[in-house]
Amino acid sequence: MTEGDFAINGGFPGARVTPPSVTGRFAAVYSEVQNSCIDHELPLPSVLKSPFIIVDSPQSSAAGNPEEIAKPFPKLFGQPSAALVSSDSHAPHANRKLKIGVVLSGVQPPDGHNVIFGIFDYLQDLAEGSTLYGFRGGPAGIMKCKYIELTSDYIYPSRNQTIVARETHFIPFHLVINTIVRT
Amino acid sequence: MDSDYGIPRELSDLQKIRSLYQPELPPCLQGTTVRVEFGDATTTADPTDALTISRAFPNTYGHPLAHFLRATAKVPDAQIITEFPPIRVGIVFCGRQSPGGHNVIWGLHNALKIHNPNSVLLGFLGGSEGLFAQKTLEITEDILSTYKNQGGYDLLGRTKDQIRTTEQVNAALAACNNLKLDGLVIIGGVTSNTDAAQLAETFAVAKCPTKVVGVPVTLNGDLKNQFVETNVGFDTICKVNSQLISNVCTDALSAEKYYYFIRLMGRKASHVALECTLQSHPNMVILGEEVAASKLTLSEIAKQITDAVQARAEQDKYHGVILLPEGLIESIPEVYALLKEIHGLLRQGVAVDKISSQLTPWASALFEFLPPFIRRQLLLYPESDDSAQLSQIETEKLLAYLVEVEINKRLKEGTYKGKKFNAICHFFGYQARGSLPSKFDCDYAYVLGHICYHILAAGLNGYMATVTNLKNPVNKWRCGAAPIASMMTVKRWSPNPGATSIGKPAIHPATVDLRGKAYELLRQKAQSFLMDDIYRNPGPLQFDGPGAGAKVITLSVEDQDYMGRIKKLQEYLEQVRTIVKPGCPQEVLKAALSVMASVTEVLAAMSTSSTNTLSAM
Repeated sequence: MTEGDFAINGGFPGARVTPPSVTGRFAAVYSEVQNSCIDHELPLPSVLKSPFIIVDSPQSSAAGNPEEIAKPFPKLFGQPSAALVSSDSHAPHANRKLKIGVVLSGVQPPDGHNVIFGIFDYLQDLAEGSTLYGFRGGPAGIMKCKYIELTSDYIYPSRNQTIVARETHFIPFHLVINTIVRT
Repeated sequence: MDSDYGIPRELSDLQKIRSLYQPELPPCLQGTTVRVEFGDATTTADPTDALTISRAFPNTYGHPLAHFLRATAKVPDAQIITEFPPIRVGIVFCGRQSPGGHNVIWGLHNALKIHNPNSVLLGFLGGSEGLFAQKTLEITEDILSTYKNQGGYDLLGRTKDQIRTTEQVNAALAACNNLKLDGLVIIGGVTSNTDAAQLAETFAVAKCPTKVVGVPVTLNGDLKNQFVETNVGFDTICKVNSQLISNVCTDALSAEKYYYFIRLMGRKASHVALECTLQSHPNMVILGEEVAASKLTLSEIAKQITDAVQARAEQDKYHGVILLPEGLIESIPEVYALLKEIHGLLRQGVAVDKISSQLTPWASALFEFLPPFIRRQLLLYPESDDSAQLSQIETEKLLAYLVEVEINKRLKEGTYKGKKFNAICHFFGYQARGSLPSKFDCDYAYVLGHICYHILAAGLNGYMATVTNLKNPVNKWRCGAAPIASMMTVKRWSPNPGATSIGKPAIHPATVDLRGKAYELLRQKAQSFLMDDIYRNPGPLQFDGPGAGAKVITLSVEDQDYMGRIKKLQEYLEQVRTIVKPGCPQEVLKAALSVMASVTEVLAAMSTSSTNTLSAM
């Protein structure tokens, strides 16, 4: 046998063998356990399964030093908490078409993906025509405007699996503000 | 210390559920009317070894295969065992703990008691040293209750995994005589079963009534031959490791900045590394057998990995997972030779701090080239099977270090323009070794335990319990036994050109077959694994539901059932013998002679060709 015959030579550098996947996941190679997880139906609290309205609750404060916390957050501080309450019909804004961005920040834990799927499923069911964008590469993706529209095909391989594509990247708050202002 | 063995344990909920699982028996072992059929005398895989082995094992070599059949099997000359006198059996854990070992004891105990409640099973406490010291624990249903389907070897424990020296063999003989044992069951891998064969021969010569039986239990998966398809423990180790590996793959894919070097326990051969690769799809695996066949140097291996890292960097990928077997270090020719020198000096009593100055010049140069942490590890005293302490040598750190050196060199030369290379190293060994056994290992071990009983009931000495057709459901498994001597080979080793010495017969660890189907599967996928990140997570070990029935890929992909085929061949030969009897028509006789001549000619040519191929390897 010649040296080139061995697996560790891997036949590189070479073209891809597997068709490219935008997600980096390949459901075709999933194990039985992974496939059973993907198709696992997750429970929802009953209030989220039927029409609900958002009811304002008492004004919020802070765990401590409310005056000092109010200063950097003048618009956000003191807002009332919100409660989801069952109702005979959805709140008036429920059918509005929304554009939502989602970003994974911090160290990857199991189950982070499922937050994204929860948002996605809600928009599909109750806010038809809305768009969900995922920022790629963590917080840096917001600053660089690197995003992808999340579709059903895109997110399928990651349901009930673990995290994809985050970066340990702390963005000082004022830079975020500047980015938003420029946009 | 001894008082800790075999005590009832507090089990978790999962452990309790697992302890209640009752493995199924194949039809051929059910009830008390199992029949035994003897096949032809056995020979060795390599005909040139036959003479040497028969000289070393005159009383146990060449004995026939045994097949265990259900009562209703239509086989004309099968022996029906109708009497079940009470017997006394000893059992001992040799070899490193493998998940499922406890179930061998359970299966044997169950078989003993259903055939005669007065039979006794004695476990030797502390492995082979317990055998020598005659420290026993009588196995009862109560004692077994918290050990069924559980991992580890702590029911009886294990110590030195060796029954080899004259003193040790004599102590074992004395123990069996004093305890009036009808049988001694040895649970272990290649080394322990080699010792079992030698013990059986010694007992036969000494006319000791104790029959010795071996059981193929080793997580390494290297006790593999025509008669043994896989080992108890291998299934579990590969599944547990594959889950850990695939978690690391997902983490690598998420952070996109680390290369993980993962070394896997599995002794000299790369069976665990190969199987885990096929299950979890990491980017790269370095098989010891490929390195040995290509005679790759350390630098060449590091270069291969660096080239892979660079190829991925060109696609903006700076993460990856690389697997290596712990035996890799001994597969690198120059390191192997260095280790031989070091071990030789250690055995001469040379002090550790004096060894480096007594190495030959080339060995000394290599030794100095290696980082200090590796030097210290190479100086460790060898294991009882004469190999280096593979679990303690951090080959993964050595390779990561060498790759980093190479990357930095290329950065300076300007040939590598990617980001910084970050490596994280892991050794996956003890974590998987102590796992609850998989459903397959529970079933397989329990069935092997039953077979041990039937071997002893048939009065066989120096046999190993075997099951073939394992990739099919339990009700299709074929149960039998094969003489351990038939599994042996003779390694020929020439320290100098022209000088030839004939080695001692032993069951040598099976290497990964570079012409086998499992390896071919790896080669087909290697390029895609390397570049495309098609990671696969088998999930935690499953006892029920999806994934519970999964078999290891290296078992499923091969055509096996050697024992079944031997039986089929015998059936055909029997049919020929029935059809062609004196008095049959002349045309029938002529046709039979013509066909048999052709078959014989082809088989003889194949046998010669096979021998030549083996010699060439």
